[in-house]
Amino acid sequence: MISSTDTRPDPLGLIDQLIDALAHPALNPPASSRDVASPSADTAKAAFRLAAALGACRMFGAPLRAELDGELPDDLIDAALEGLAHAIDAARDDADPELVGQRWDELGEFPDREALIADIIQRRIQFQAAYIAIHDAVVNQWDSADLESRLDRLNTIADKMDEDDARLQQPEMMEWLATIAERPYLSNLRGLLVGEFAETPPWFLDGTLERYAAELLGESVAEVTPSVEPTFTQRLAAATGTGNHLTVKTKQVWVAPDGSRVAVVHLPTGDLNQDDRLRMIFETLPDYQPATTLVGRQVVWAGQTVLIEQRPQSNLVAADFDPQTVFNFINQHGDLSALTVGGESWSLSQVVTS
Amino acid sequence: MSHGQTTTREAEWFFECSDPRHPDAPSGTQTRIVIRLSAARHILEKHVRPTNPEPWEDLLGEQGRQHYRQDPEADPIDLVMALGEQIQRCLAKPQAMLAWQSQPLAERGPQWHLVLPCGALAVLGCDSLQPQTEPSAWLKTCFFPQTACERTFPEHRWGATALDRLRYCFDFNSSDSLPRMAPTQDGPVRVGTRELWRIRFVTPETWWFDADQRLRPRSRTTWDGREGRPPAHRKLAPRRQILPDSQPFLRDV
Repeated sequence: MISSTDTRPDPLGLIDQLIDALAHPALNPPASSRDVASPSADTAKAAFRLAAALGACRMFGAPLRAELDGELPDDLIDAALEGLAHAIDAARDDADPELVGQRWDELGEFPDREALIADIIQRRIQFQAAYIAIHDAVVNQWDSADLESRLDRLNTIADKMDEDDARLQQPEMMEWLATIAERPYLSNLRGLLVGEFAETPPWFLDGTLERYAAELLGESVAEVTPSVEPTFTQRLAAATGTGNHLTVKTKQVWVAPDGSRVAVVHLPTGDLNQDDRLRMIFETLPDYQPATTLVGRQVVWAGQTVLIEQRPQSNLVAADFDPQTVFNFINQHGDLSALTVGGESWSLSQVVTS
Repeated sequence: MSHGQTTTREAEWFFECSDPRHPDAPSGTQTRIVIRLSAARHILEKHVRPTNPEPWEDLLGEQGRQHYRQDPEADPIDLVMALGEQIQRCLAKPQAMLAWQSQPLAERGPQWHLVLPCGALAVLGCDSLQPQTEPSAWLKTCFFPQTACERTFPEHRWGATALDRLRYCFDFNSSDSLPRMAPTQDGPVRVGTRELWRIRFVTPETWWFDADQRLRPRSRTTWDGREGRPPAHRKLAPRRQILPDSQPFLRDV
């Protein structure tokens, strides 16, 4: 458990929030099989909050100890999906500029009007965080019988979030949202983002609102984000038509013709350094062990031919590709689905873009 | 002690409290906090009566909140007394965040932000930065921020609201120490696109942060300083390692 002597930073208190969410009575004890199929409203809400708490830990780099550094339990994935979808629907009025304006006016000079806008941003962050945690749990259970239906639900939710964003980004709504730029709230959160979330912040944390506020005030401010160049995943998404809802990462999975092995590659979100390599990993099915029988074979992908190698240090069977060549290949062909291993054509079974 | 009083303008209730502006608070001077009828009505109409996630039952009880929901003309006295008692407890610690607002908010004067023991945030206005024994601060509003509403256990709402205030009002990039109430000249600081005026935490050691007042929340400290035990909770599933190496693009293989 978390002790009071822990000195690692968690200025948002996300670890306590995660423990609190895990302790919700609706999640304890674990749901029966009947409840998993049809979770109660309380369970769905609690599972959504748990997913949001866990996803926030990932986004903002909360120093999770081993026992908390996990994934949503399988019996809560469907409940969390339902809870997230419901929460997005319930927050629909938050993105209606007329209603927000009405609430704002009703609050007059009372200081709680600031909380009105902060709560809208906070809810949007929750949706993003919950999506991340649910997505991770779903794709890592990719041998589950529910995989397809869960991915479908995730895609539906991603569409809802896109619609929500489109409403929030209307000029009238942006004027309300930009009022929060008077506070350090956004820059505080942005400064705590880690990894791929820091590289490609969601739009409400990438400086857009501060710039909008500055324009409204007729001020000029320095760019908050260093670059608006499309990321690797955005280029990939545009090229392959896989969509680019949240731009977290893209995973492509191929299956051998006899179904006994898989190849997996994760495509990054940000720019790569010159020395970086894109790694494709080969594993056996159904036990996901290193596919050692493939060592020494040629693999052809994205215009490159490389050898599959054994990596004793990391216990992997893998092939490394030059990302710049992959970039060029995307630009020329717009398609990364073709993979040949040892002269056999493997079929692309999944492209998961989040 | 609290006592009610009616003026010709509108009803007001006064509560004797330790003045958080005094350097020796809470053993400095006392001041009187005012809760006006208009503020009580605002809180009732915008926060207590609506069907929203704000847990006013924690403060008023199930029946108390139900009463206010069912009867729009209900006397606000129960709410006023409950809030007054919470404000007194808060300032007896003392524990307050004093904010000097930027333009165009400056015309509203300085604000006190009080995280009440129940987890609600009370915002008070005042007309002077100097300690005063006369009534000089008045309740403007009181509500539960969203993060507090979502806590499973009521005793954890207080910490959630405290952290919410911190990230909302205090620039993490300027320093990781809480600004103290100190007899220094305050000046404007630039945050985002606007100038904000300094924020002072009155006796930071009474908040739930480490003894050195760094931005490290202590785990599960209740409002009255008890170290709460983590609640029993279910476990997360282990992270499944389909890919033993979660970094797909390593430089050194």
